[in-house]
Amino acid sequence: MKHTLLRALGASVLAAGLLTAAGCSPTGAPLDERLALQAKATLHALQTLPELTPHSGVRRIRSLRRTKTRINEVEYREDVRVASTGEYQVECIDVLASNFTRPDEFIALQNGRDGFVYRYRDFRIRDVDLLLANYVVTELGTPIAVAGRTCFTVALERRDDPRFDETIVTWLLAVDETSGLVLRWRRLADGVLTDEGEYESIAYGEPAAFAPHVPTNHELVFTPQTDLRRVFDFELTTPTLLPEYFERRQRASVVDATGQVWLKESFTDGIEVAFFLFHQDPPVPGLPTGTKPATLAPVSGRAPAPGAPAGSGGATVGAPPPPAAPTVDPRLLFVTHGDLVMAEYRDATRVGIVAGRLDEDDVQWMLESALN
Amino acid sequence: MSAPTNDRPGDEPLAPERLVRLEAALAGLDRRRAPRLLKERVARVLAADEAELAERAEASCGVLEPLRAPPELRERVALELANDLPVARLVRGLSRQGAPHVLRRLVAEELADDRAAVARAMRGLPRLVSPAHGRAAEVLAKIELGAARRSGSFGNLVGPRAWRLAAAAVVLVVVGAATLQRLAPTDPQRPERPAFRFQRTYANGPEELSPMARGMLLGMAPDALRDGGAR
Repeated sequence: MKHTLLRALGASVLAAGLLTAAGCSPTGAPLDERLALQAKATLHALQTLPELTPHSGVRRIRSLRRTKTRINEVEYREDVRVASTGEYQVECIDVLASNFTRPDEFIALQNGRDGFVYRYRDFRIRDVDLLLANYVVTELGTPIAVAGRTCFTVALERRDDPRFDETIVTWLLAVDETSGLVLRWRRLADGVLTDEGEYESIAYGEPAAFAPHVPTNHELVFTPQTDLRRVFDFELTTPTLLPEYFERRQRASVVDATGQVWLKESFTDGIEVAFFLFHQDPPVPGLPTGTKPATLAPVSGRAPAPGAPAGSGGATVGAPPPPAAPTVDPRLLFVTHGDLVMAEYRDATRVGIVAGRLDEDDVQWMLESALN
Repeated sequence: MSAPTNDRPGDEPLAPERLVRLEAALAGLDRRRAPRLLKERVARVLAADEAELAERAEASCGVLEPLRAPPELRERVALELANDLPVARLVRGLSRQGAPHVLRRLVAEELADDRAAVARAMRGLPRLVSPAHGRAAEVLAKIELGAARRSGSFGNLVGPRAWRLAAAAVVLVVVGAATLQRLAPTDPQRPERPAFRFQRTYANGPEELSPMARGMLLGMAPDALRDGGAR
């Protein structure tokens, strides 16, 4: 039982183990392999505990996005319920601070994103080996109380290479000594707080009333046995130029609201996550690669590209193209929001998306390297 | 309970008449006086404090002929001392204060970095005078000569020392800049990135994105659209 493992290890052993595994033996002595293995086992336990520890609680979430002109602050409260089967329910129940004029609409939208929120927004250890390679782990000392539970505190700081100017990402965690759940997390970028989450109350055990999240995107994570030809009708691709620290973690297929199948790849540095999404329309007969009628856009559910003629919607796939149809030039569109960067590339048949808290150049390199 | 006696066990007790005879015989002997030197030394010893006594004992021991240790023992001790100096033993016995975590990490990274190791080795190499130094001297000489010729000129007014300093500063800046450029770190790990093929365009808002991209963006930052994604 992983809970027993955590209790047996205890905070100090965990911290010492983490330090050792991170190559930072406090005495400078050679690394103790046994302790390093113990620490890795503990990290693996922490990695899966959030999905396997039945509990119910209320937590406060806060995000601070710094744009060029202002700081967007959103703070809200949500109810989280997790069953031992791995099913979960996350429900936004209250907006505490925001610049929304209609917080109720935000709550409704947020509750439609609960799957994404639970899997990717919260602090998670996504890859133990990468975490140990990319982060320095430090125990912060005196235990603290969060939601009435005694927690030990740990800082994870992404290793800084002074030759480069990558953002120094730091996670400050309060981990329940008994259950191993992270009850409070704070993310700092170059020492400035960007995200925060904290349980205000928590009760362990199977949740009483429960309406688990039902995914609607039909996500199918690839395994070596997955027959990709039956899933996709286009050739898959992947970014070959990745940002410093990041490696590919998972490949999957997802289906969007219009029924189109997308390739979804996630990348991680051990904690942080970035995405690559890719879709390709079937080739239109009679058109060379790189061109397509502008009228094709509405069929794929995409807005007409800038420059497309007015009233260009309505045609269907397979309709014979007009002889002198205007073409859509490849376009690379960037959106930045605080430290979040998203780029979308579109050409005649392909759409590629990269999103993450990454450098803009890294995002473009990822995208371009996948779209050769 | 018997009275204590001075008799040693096994000694035959002295009879009273024998004691009387012995006392008479001793009293009849001629007295000899102790030598004055002995009396003085006894008086000095009685009056000496501990430090003096120790000093004197050391001096006395110094004149004694020392016993030599066996050669095997001497060799063994010499070997031990060579490998394990007393100072090192002392230092090892001291309580340790752990270095700050950041320092340990930086040192570990420095030691693991091959380029840093090369830089350290380079730092230890003997330095040759750079050609720039000779050029600097040449420039200074010319300036000085020119200043001497231009008697009464501005150069003479400000003095040759100022000119020398200015020239030296210029040379230092030029040489320093060239050196910095030559030594500018190049990235050994990051692969060479190709030039971008596409022009980057910034969207006026997330509404310009496709629904899939917009959904992803809002999942990562719910406030990315105005009014919390309500529009």
